[in-house]
Amino acid sequence: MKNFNYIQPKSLKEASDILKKKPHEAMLYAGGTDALGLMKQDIIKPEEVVNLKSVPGLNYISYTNGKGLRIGALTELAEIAENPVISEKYPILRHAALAVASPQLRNLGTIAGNLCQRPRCWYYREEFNCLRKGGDMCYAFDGQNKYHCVIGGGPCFIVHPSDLAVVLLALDAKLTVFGDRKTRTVQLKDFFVSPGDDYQHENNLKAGEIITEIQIPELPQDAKSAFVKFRERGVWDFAVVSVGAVIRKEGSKVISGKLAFGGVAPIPWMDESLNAKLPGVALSEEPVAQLVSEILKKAEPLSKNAYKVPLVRNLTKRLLLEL
Amino acid sequence: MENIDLLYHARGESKFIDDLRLPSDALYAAIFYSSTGHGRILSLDLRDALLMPGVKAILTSKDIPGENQIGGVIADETLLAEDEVHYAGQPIALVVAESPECARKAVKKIKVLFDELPVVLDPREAFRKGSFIIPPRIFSMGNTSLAWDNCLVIVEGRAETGAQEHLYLETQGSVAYPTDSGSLKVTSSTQAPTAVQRAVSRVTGLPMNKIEVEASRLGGGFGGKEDQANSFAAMAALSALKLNRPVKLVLSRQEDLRITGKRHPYSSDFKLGLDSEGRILAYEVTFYQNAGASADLSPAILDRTLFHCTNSYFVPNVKATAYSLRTNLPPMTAFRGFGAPQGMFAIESAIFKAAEKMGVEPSYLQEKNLLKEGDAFPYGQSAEGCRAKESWLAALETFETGEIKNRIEKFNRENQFFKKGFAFMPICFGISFTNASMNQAGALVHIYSDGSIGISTAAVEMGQGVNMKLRQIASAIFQVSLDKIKIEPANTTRVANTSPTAASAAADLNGKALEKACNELLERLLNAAALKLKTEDKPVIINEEILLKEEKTGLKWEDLVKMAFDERMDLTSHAHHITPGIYFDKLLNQGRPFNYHVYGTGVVEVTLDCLRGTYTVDSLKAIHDSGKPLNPLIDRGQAEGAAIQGLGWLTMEEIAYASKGPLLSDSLSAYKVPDVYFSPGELDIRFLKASDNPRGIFNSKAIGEPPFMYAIGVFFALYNAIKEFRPEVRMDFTAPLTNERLLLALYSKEKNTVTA
Ligand SMILES: Cc1cc2nc3c(=O)[nH]c(=O)nc-3n(C[C@H](O)[C@H](O)[C@H](O)COP(=O)(O)OP(=O)(O)OC[C@H]3O[C@@H](n4cnc5c(N)ncnc54)[C@H](O)[C@@H]3O)c2cc1C
Ligand code: SF4
Repeated sequence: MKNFNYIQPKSLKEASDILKKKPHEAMLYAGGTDALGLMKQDIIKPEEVVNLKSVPGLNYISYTNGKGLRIGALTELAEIAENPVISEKYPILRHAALAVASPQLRNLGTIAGNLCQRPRCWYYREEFNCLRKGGDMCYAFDGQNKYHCVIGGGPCFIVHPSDLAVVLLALDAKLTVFGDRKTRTVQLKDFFVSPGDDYQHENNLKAGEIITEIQIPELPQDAKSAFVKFRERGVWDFAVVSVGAVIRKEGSKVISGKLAFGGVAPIPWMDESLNAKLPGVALSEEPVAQLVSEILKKAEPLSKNAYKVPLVRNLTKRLLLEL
Repeated sequence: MENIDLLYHARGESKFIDDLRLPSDALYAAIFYSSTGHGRILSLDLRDALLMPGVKAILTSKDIPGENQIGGVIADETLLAEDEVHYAGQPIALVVAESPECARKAVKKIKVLFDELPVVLDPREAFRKGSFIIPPRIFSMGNTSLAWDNCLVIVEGRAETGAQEHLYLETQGSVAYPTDSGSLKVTSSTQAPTAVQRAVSRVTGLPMNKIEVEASRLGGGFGGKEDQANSFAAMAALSALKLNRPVKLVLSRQEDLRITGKRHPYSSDFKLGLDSEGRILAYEVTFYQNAGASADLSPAILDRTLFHCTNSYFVPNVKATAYSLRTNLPPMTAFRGFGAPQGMFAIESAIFKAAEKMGVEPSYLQEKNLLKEGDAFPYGQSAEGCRAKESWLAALETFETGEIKNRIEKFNRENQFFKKGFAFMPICFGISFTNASMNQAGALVHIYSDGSIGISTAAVEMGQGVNMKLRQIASAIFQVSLDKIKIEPANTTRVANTSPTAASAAADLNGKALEKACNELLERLLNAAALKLKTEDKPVIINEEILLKEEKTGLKWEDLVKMAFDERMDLTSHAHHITPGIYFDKLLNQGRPFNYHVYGTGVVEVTLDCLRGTYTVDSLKAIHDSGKPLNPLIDRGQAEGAAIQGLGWLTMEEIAYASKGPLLSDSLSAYKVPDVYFSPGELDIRFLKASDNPRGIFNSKAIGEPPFMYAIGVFFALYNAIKEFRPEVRMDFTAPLTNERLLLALYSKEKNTVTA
């Protein structure tokens, strides 16, 4: 690890200005659970480490009846998992937070950090100068790619590692972003960028921009939701694939809903045309089987990850039938 | 009887290499290693690293005063690379600095340029290129070519097994101290102090008597520290000698994962022929062993694959060919089972395939072909004290396997997406080092004048409880309480020319030597007692009291020892033990390589979630023949641990290398091992009743390795469950059977063969 200056800004403005001034040398640091790993492995070598935790007022969970939920960027995943309002109103969010890593990491890791964590591609994490690190090739494409994406890839084939992103996408969340002395709001679905557009960044934050809040709209009373994460080990493991669903139904028929998928694409994946097919689907074996056969229709698996397609379909099927 | 060591472990008081307190002038070494699988070193630039404050020296092959060679079996492995590197992770230089952090930082400043050369990772490719470590080895019995004509059913296929990481909790490490008169003391996390002594001697050029090696305890070894501890000890020693200061070298987990070798991956072709009743008539098998870049222990491991290629079955006509192949991976090394699991997996695959073809259950063929007393193994030895059938029948009865089968059939009828599978796994494992000369051990026993006892042997305690067993032996012979007995660290100045603690044989070999030494001392003491009591009869000791004709004499153990000391008796004894009656002709491949065999039968039940490709191992049960276990609690722990380690090898532990050789799964987030959640719901290993073993210490049998192989059953249990869901599937026999391989088997489009 390289030596660095540790900066304790007192305000968002101060933090943002430093980040903006030195876009390549400064790095924002929240819980540090990902940032520290990246620094130790020399994947990033910041000169200034800007501790967001010294900025007050970014750690809160607030719910307003009829308006929805607001979560401060620095709120730790453990707090999200333990919050009684979230458990009652947005159990899917609690479920996803609990599915992350280990209790130790959830005590430190923050929600915004979780959305901005870097990919886990093993070439990226190891000493390979791949495309995403400024090199000139993707090692996974011809190499060991069982954990990589089956859709939306190229020229880089990562999957986005965040569990929270998948459920927040299904919940239609928005982010408030501070930068350049003002704030902007961005829909989560527009936040992530595909490698086809930019293969060195996973989201569209500009230099100096900081997520301050995550907003989740009020869910209709009758909404049902569920999250399922498939991992190879019972705990402390990233998703191989995951599915988040938020559905309204009448009787056994879906009225409206959203499905989002993790572990299949370089961004948390949502297929609008698939979601458009949800209304009217009866939640029983045949129609659900028909629906899930539409999932990842356009997938182009790599040499070692074709298994993800049936896996996602099966998981979704079970999830829907159990809603 | 509880293992007292555990208390210290649980309290964190046991000291491992990295816990040793060092003198204030100690230095720390870190390794600069190759990042490519094969290349010529064009230039090595140490300048920036040398300029770092705190860096004391950077050593390369040119700094080695002795031989730059650590190959124990074959001299084909340098300590530090010279002109070429042959695997990613191969040590090139050593940075010695004032702190481990400083040394590691400096390592990152070393620049190297390679002329990249072709990288071979696959043993079959190495075979085509003729890259053999040793000439092919062939074991044969009968005549397979004549036998095929008599076979009603013949199946052929391929079996693949992957590498496995040892993942001992304590990574490799060593501290070397310069001592008087140009000597060295080396403490090492090694299973083989003498091998370390030899390697250090070779590299430093010092004679062995100037090198004292000590191994007090290991945080696990599993074979990974049988040969591979040598190089790290030699590096610490070389640094200490050069700088004349104590030097510590302890690998980080990532360094350890990248640099050290693993269980050998094997690719095997099998052909099995049976008659109409399911009797096996002929078996041909060819093993392609991926040995990595140098020999290490590969030749011995290759032999054990051959020794166990027919597992616990009698096969009248066998031809087994084995190739040890050089590839650009770290030198693969010993790992619990030592090549046997790979051999057994191949024949179990063949039997499974034959059962499929004959429309019978694999267990029908397994049972039919079990070894019987007097049956010949393909290497000249015959089964003595054979307990193959006995353990099989005991398993049927104890675990009510008939009931299990009914229950599973019912479950599978009633469930569409969950399927259960079940398999038997008989084992047979030969005990002794396959290299006959290694079957020796020494023990040194001191009785101190206060009656307390100190014992030194060659056995290294690494969690397997050998120290406890040794104490039990001495305690039983002297009839003194366990707390009077201390086991000293294995040290080459106390017991020299030792064999490694390996091959499951440490308690057997060292226990026998200890038994001899103790009996000699006991004899002396009892003669002294008889003299003192002025009797012709022989006194005995019971519970620290000296008895004569079953009467107390008032003389206690302490009195007796004090008296013997005052009489100027020698209260120290050394004894040496060799395993009698073993030999092996390496040209004919015939002999009696094993002292005895361990038998057992495992049964495994799994539930497969056919939607997700996940599964639970509901139970792993076994009837295990351990003779009369010396310490049933320790032995059960060994058996359970081995079985779970085996489960990992067959299911989730997958090692991924990049195409140029670097290890990708070099952390525990990418390399997944069984945790408590994955462990079988029911893990029930019972010892075969009414067993004994006159050839073992106190009638016991070795325990370390054999139970590992019960886990092979999980592969076939899963395969059975897959077939319940998708009867037409014909899978390859490729382990580990990871979730993605399972899913492909369940859902791949091609109906009949699934190549995972
Ligand atoms: C062993 C391990 C297992 C894990 N398993 C999982 C898992 O199963 N599922 C899962 O979802 N995640 C997993 N993670 C990731 C973990 O959840 C994230 O590391 C954590 O949530 C990041 O939060 P943090 O506050 O520590 O972020 P940091 O490490 O401090 O920051 C991460 C990144 O986000 C940026 N950042 C942080 N806050 C902001 C902000 N407010 N605005 C803009 N950028 C910001 C930082 O600059 C940095 O680039 C795992 C991590 C580890 C180490
Ligand atoms: S998938 Fe992306 S991060 Fe991984 S090697 Fe390819 S370019 Fe690099």
